[in-house]
Amino acid sequence: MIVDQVGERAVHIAATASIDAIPSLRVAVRALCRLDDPDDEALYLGACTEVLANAIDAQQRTDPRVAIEMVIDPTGQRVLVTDHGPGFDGAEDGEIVVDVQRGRGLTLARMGCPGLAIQSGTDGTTIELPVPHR
Amino acid sequence: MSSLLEVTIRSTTHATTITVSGPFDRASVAVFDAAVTGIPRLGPPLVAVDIGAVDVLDSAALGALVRLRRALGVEVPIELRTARDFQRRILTVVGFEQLFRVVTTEPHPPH
Repeated sequence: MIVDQVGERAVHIAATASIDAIPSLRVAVRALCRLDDPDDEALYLGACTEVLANAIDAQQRTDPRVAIEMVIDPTGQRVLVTDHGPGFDGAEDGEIVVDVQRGRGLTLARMGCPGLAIQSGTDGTTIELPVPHR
Repeated sequence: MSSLLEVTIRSTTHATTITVSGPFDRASVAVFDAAVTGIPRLGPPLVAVDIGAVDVLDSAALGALVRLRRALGVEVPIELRTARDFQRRILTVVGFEQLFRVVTTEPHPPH
Protein backbone atom coordinates (compact mmCIF):
# COMPACT_ATOMS: atom_id res chain seq x y z
CA MET A 1 0.00 0.00 0.00
CA ILE A 2 1.42 3.38 -1.00
CA VAL A 3 0.15 6.54 0.64
CA ASP A 4 0.82 9.99 -0.77
CA GLN A 5 -0.35 13.35 0.45
CA VAL A 6 -1.54 15.58 -2.38
CA GLY A 7 -2.27 19.22 -1.70
CA GLU A 8 -2.97 20.44 1.79
CA ARG A 9 -4.63 17.40 3.35
CA ALA A 10 -5.77 15.10 0.55
CA VAL A 11 -4.63 11.52 0.84
CA HIS A 12 -4.03 9.31 -2.18
CA ILE A 13 -3.70 5.60 -1.47
CA ALA A 14 -2.73 2.96 -4.01
CA ALA A 15 -3.58 -0.47 -2.64
CA THR A 16 -3.05 -3.99 -3.85
CA ALA A 17 -6.19 -5.42 -5.39
CA SER A 18 -6.72 -7.79 -2.49
CA ILE A 19 -9.57 -8.14 -0.01
CA ASP A 20 -6.94 -8.04 2.74
CA ALA A 21 -6.44 -4.33 1.96
CA ILE A 22 -9.98 -3.40 3.01
CA PRO A 23 -9.45 -3.09 6.79
CA SER A 24 -6.49 -0.73 6.38
CA LEU A 25 -8.29 1.40 3.84
CA ARG A 26 -11.28 1.64 6.16
CA VAL A 27 -9.03 2.80 9.00
CA ALA A 28 -7.89 5.67 6.79
CA VAL A 29 -11.48 6.64 5.97
CA ARG A 30 -12.50 6.53 9.61
CA ALA A 31 -9.51 8.65 10.63
CA LEU A 32 -10.07 11.37 8.03
CA CYS A 33 -13.83 11.46 7.47
CA ARG A 34 -15.75 12.50 10.54
CA LEU A 35 -19.41 11.65 11.09
CA ASP A 36 -21.07 12.78 14.29
CA ASP A 37 -23.50 9.91 14.61
CA PRO A 38 -21.97 6.45 15.25
CA ASP A 39 -24.71 4.65 13.31
CA ASP A 40 -24.24 6.97 10.33
CA GLU A 41 -20.52 6.29 10.57
CA ALA A 42 -21.08 2.54 10.60
CA LEU A 43 -23.32 2.78 7.53
CA TYR A 44 -20.84 5.02 5.68
CA LEU A 45 -17.94 2.69 6.47
CA GLY A 46 -20.12 -0.16 5.24
CA ALA A 47 -20.71 1.74 2.01
CA CYS A 48 -16.97 2.27 1.57
CA THR A 49 -16.42 -1.44 2.24
CA GLU A 50 -18.91 -2.43 -0.45
CA VAL A 51 -17.33 -0.09 -2.98
CA LEU A 52 -13.80 -1.19 -2.17
CA ALA A 53 -14.75 -4.87 -2.47
CA ASN A 54 -16.36 -4.23 -5.86
CA ALA A 55 -13.29 -2.33 -7.06
CA ILE A 56 -10.98 -5.12 -5.93
CA ASP A 57 -13.11 -7.75 -7.63
CA ALA A 58 -13.16 -5.74 -10.86
CA GLN A 59 -9.42 -5.15 -10.79
CA GLN A 60 -8.70 -8.81 -10.14
CA ARG A 61 -10.75 -9.76 -13.19
CA THR A 62 -8.66 -7.48 -15.40
CA ASP A 63 -5.14 -7.42 -13.92
CA PRO A 64 -4.58 -8.13 -10.21
CA ARG A 65 -1.11 -6.59 -10.41
CA VAL A 66 -2.63 -3.16 -10.90
CA ALA A 67 -3.51 -1.29 -7.72
CA ILE A 68 -6.87 0.20 -6.90
CA GLU A 69 -6.85 3.82 -5.79
CA MET A 70 -8.59 5.59 -3.00
CA VAL A 71 -8.51 9.37 -2.58
CA ILE A 72 -9.78 11.22 0.46
CA ASP A 73 -10.17 14.88 -0.42
CA PRO A 74 -8.62 17.68 1.65
CA THR A 75 -11.82 18.46 3.53
CA GLY A 76 -12.42 14.83 4.51
CA GLN A 77 -15.89 15.15 2.99
CA ARG A 78 -15.46 12.87 0.00
CA VAL A 79 -13.88 9.52 -0.81
CA LEU A 80 -13.17 8.39 -4.36
CA VAL A 81 -12.45 4.77 -5.25
CA THR A 82 -11.06 3.89 -8.66
CA ASP A 83 -10.36 0.61 -10.38
CA HIS A 84 -9.18 -0.15 -13.88
CA GLY A 85 -11.44 -3.13 -14.35
CA PRO A 86 -13.96 -3.86 -17.08
CA GLY A 87 -16.66 -1.51 -15.81
CA PHE A 88 -20.17 -2.50 -14.80
CA ASP A 89 -21.65 -5.23 -17.03
CA GLY A 90 -24.00 -3.98 -19.65
CA ALA A 91 -23.41 -0.33 -18.97
CA GLU A 92 -25.01 1.58 -21.81
CA ASP A 93 -25.85 5.25 -21.86
CA GLY A 94 -25.37 5.41 -18.10
CA GLU A 95 -27.57 2.43 -17.32
CA ILE A 96 -25.93 -0.01 -14.96
CA VAL A 97 -26.95 -3.66 -14.84
CA VAL A 98 -25.67 -5.61 -11.87
CA ASP A 99 -26.05 -9.19 -10.72
CA VAL A 100 -28.06 -9.95 -7.60
CA GLN A 101 -25.13 -10.11 -5.19
CA ARG A 102 -23.62 -6.85 -6.38
CA GLY A 103 -27.09 -5.37 -6.38
CA ARG A 104 -27.47 -6.03 -2.68
CA GLY A 105 -24.07 -4.48 -2.09
CA LEU A 106 -24.96 -1.37 -4.05
CA THR A 107 -28.25 -1.09 -2.18
CA LEU A 108 -26.38 -1.05 1.12
CA ALA A 109 -23.76 1.33 -0.29
CA ARG A 110 -26.45 3.80 -1.31
CA MET A 111 -28.11 3.48 2.07
CA GLY A 112 -24.87 4.40 3.81
CA CYS A 113 -24.00 7.05 1.23
CA PRO A 114 -27.13 8.47 -0.43
CA GLY A 115 -25.05 10.78 -2.65
CA LEU A 116 -22.97 7.94 -4.08
CA ALA A 117 -22.13 8.54 -7.75
CA ILE A 118 -20.73 6.09 -10.28
CA GLN A 119 -18.72 6.74 -13.41
CA SER A 120 -18.01 3.55 -15.27
CA GLY A 121 -16.61 2.59 -18.65
CA THR A 122 -14.58 -0.08 -20.37
CA ASP A 123 -11.36 1.36 -18.90
CA GLY A 124 -12.52 1.34 -15.30
CA THR A 125 -14.85 2.72 -12.67
CA THR A 126 -14.67 5.61 -10.22
CA ILE A 127 -17.16 5.80 -7.40
CA GLU A 128 -17.56 8.96 -5.39
CA LEU A 129 -18.75 8.66 -1.79
CA PRO A 130 -19.60 12.04 -0.30
CA VAL A 131 -19.78 11.95 3.47
CA PRO A 132 -23.45 12.31 4.41
CA HIS A 133 -24.61 14.90 6.88
CA ARG A 134 -28.01 15.21 8.51
CA MET B 1 -13.54 -0.12 16.59
CA SER B 2 -11.97 -3.60 16.52
CA SER B 3 -9.88 -4.55 13.51
CA LEU B 4 -10.60 -8.28 13.75
CA LEU B 5 -13.79 -10.32 13.62
CA GLU B 6 -14.36 -12.50 16.66
CA VAL B 7 -16.80 -15.40 16.66
CA THR B 8 -17.68 -17.37 19.78
CA ILE B 9 -20.13 -20.27 19.96
CA ARG B 10 -21.95 -21.54 23.02
CA SER B 11 -24.26 -24.54 22.87
CA THR B 12 -26.86 -25.80 25.32
CA THR B 13 -29.66 -28.28 24.89
CA HIS B 14 -31.99 -25.36 24.15
CA ALA B 15 -29.99 -23.29 21.70
CA THR B 16 -26.71 -22.59 20.03
CA THR B 17 -25.64 -18.98 20.35
CA ILE B 18 -23.14 -17.48 17.92
CA THR B 19 -21.72 -14.18 19.10
CA VAL B 20 -20.04 -12.03 16.46
CA SER B 21 -18.05 -8.88 17.17
CA GLY B 22 -15.94 -6.47 15.14
CA PRO B 23 -16.08 -5.88 11.38
CA PHE B 24 -18.29 -8.49 9.72
CA ASP B 25 -17.48 -7.96 6.04
CA ARG B 26 -15.93 -9.35 2.90
CA ALA B 27 -12.46 -9.43 4.48
CA SER B 28 -13.58 -11.37 7.57
CA VAL B 29 -16.51 -13.51 6.41
CA ALA B 30 -14.32 -16.60 5.98
CA VAL B 31 -13.74 -16.55 9.75
CA PHE B 32 -17.49 -16.73 10.36
CA ASP B 33 -18.02 -19.43 7.73
CA ALA B 34 -15.28 -21.58 9.27
CA ALA B 35 -16.60 -21.10 12.80
CA VAL B 36 -20.19 -22.15 12.03
CA THR B 37 -19.48 -25.00 9.66
CA GLY B 38 -20.09 -27.72 12.27
CA ILE B 39 -23.29 -26.29 13.74
CA PRO B 40 -25.81 -28.00 11.43
CA ARG B 41 -24.45 -31.38 12.49
CA LEU B 42 -25.23 -30.56 16.15
CA GLY B 43 -28.92 -30.37 15.31
CA PRO B 44 -29.74 -27.41 17.56
CA PRO B 45 -33.44 -26.62 18.16
CA LEU B 46 -32.71 -22.90 17.89
CA VAL B 47 -29.78 -20.83 16.68
CA ALA B 48 -29.20 -17.29 17.84
CA VAL B 49 -26.72 -15.07 16.03
CA ASP B 50 -25.83 -12.06 18.17
CA ILE B 51 -24.42 -9.29 15.97
CA GLY B 52 -24.87 -6.56 18.58
CA ALA B 53 -21.14 -5.90 18.77
CA VAL B 54 -20.60 -5.86 15.01
CA ASP B 55 -19.39 -2.41 13.94
CA VAL B 56 -19.33 -2.88 10.15
CA LEU B 57 -21.88 -5.05 8.33
CA ASP B 58 -21.80 -5.54 4.57
CA SER B 59 -23.44 -7.68 1.89
CA ALA B 60 -20.82 -10.42 2.20
CA ALA B 61 -21.79 -10.84 5.85
CA LEU B 62 -25.45 -11.00 4.90
CA GLY B 63 -24.55 -13.69 2.38
CA ALA B 64 -22.88 -15.68 5.15
CA LEU B 65 -26.05 -15.46 7.24
CA VAL B 66 -28.08 -16.70 4.27
CA ARG B 67 -25.67 -19.63 3.85
CA LEU B 68 -26.16 -20.49 7.51
CA ARG B 69 -29.93 -20.29 7.01
CA ARG B 70 -29.75 -22.74 4.12
CA ALA B 71 -27.37 -25.11 5.92
CA LEU B 72 -29.65 -25.38 8.95
CA GLY B 73 -32.81 -25.95 6.97
CA VAL B 74 -36.18 -24.31 7.44
CA GLU B 75 -37.03 -26.34 10.55
CA VAL B 76 -34.45 -24.58 12.71
CA PRO B 77 -35.42 -21.04 13.68
CA ILE B 78 -32.62 -18.49 13.60
CA GLU B 79 -32.78 -15.42 15.76
CA LEU B 80 -30.68 -12.39 14.77
CA ARG B 81 -29.94 -10.27 17.82
CA THR B 82 -29.14 -6.63 17.14
CA ALA B 83 -28.17 -3.83 19.49
CA ARG B 84 -27.68 -0.86 17.20
CA ASP B 85 -29.91 1.05 14.85
CA PHE B 86 -27.67 0.64 11.79
CA GLN B 87 -27.80 -3.15 12.14
CA ARG B 88 -31.61 -3.15 12.19
CA ARG B 89 -31.79 -0.75 9.25
CA ILE B 90 -29.57 -2.99 7.13
CA LEU B 91 -31.54 -6.12 7.98
CA THR B 92 -34.80 -4.34 7.22
CA VAL B 93 -33.76 -2.90 3.87
CA VAL B 94 -32.69 -6.33 2.59
CA GLY B 95 -35.80 -8.02 3.94
CA PHE B 96 -34.16 -10.32 6.44
CA GLU B 97 -37.27 -10.43 8.65
CA GLN B 98 -38.58 -12.92 6.12
CA LEU B 99 -35.71 -15.33 6.79
CA PHE B 100 -34.83 -14.66 10.43
CA ARG B 101 -36.42 -13.51 13.64
CA VAL B 102 -34.81 -10.13 14.26
CA VAL B 103 -34.75 -9.04 17.89
CA THR B 104 -33.32 -6.03 19.71
CA THR B 105 -30.99 -6.42 22.68
CA GLU B 106 -29.16 -4.00 24.93
CA PRO B 107 -26.10 -2.29 23.37
CA HIS B 108 -22.85 -4.12 23.97
CA PRO B 109 -20.01 -2.33 25.74
CA PRO B 110 -17.43 -0.99 23.25
CA HIS B 111 -14.28 -3.00 22.61
